[in-house]
Amino acid sequence: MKLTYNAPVVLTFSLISTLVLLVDTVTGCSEANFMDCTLKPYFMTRGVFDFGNPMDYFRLVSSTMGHANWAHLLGNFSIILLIGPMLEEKFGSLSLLFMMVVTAIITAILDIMFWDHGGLGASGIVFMMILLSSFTNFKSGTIPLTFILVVILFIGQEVVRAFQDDNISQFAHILGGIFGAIFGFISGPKQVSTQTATQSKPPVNPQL
Amino acid sequence: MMNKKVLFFLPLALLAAMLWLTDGLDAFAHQKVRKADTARLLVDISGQATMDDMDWVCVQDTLGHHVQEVIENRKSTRNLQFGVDVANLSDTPEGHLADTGFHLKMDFIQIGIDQNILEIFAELEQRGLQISAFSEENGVLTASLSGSLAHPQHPGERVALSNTQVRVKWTPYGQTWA
Repeated sequence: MKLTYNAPVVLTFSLISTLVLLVDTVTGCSEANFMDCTLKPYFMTRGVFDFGNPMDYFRLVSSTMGHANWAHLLGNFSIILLIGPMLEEKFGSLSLLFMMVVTAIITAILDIMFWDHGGLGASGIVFMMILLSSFTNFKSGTIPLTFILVVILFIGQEVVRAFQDDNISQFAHILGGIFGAIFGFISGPKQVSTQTATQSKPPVNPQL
Repeated sequence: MMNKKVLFFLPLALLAAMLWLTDGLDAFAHQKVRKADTARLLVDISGQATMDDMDWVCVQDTLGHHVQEVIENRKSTRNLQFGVDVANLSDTPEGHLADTGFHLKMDFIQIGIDQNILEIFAELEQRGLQISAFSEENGVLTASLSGSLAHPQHPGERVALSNTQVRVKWTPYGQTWA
């Protein structure tokens, strides 16, 4: 028995995010002002974008790896670690990485365009993965009922919550979900149909 | 059997309709701005916004709305600070202050999580101001302010104000969590 780094993208993403929060926790960091933290200022968007500041380009992606506290981090990664490896196996590491980066960048850009607060957290990616996972048995020419239900349950709920007073970015959730749906429709049928064809022939077990 | 495209766009259309039905993206944006982790409540004399270059954002609350209700879900309510700025007094009868480009800035008022906006005004009154004629329109609280304030830079001096309009708005000043 040996440990395997079975889902490189998901695991690396998780480890970096944990490391960022760990450093800020160890060095002391107020939740009231993240800009005073050691690493969080580099792992959150600022609400504004300076085209001449290279760090702002980095923040478009890195903001998904910054988290406010351990509850925030655990909430996101309990889902990412649950369904991420399955998605990485199904769609491939590079494809999943591409989906995560695109989701992060566009969500961050739209967030900056619409609102002037900073943002951090991986839940845009979480929702992208949730919607994407509803396409796991997506066959060409069909619509998975699970997709419809997931949209209603997860995204519909986020729309309602968006009008509540809290500091949760439902905007990122909704956008992430939309990207998950788009990625699922674009890449789902080909991937699944190929895999289904492979899986339809179960390996022969000589012991049976 | 429903068309594939219809099924794909139906949920998105439903989402768009929900947003539209709830006063659209504008209301959505206003709500989101209030989701700031920390916020400052600013008092702006005569509508002259001079605080930094922050956009003014309307408060959605009616007068007396409990601050706690607004911020209860924010994660750092203990650190919430409310700033009170008295700026650009050139439109007031005490326009002499404008001659020096004076920008009177009161100390931050640190409020408790159970204080409401009326209590903030009450604290202003304790500082020597009388506030009357409250009104609320389009989410902006306005009040008429009279009296005098202690000069922050010249101890012993007081700055007189007379029926000066005060506007109160929320400004975004924090982060949202995704």
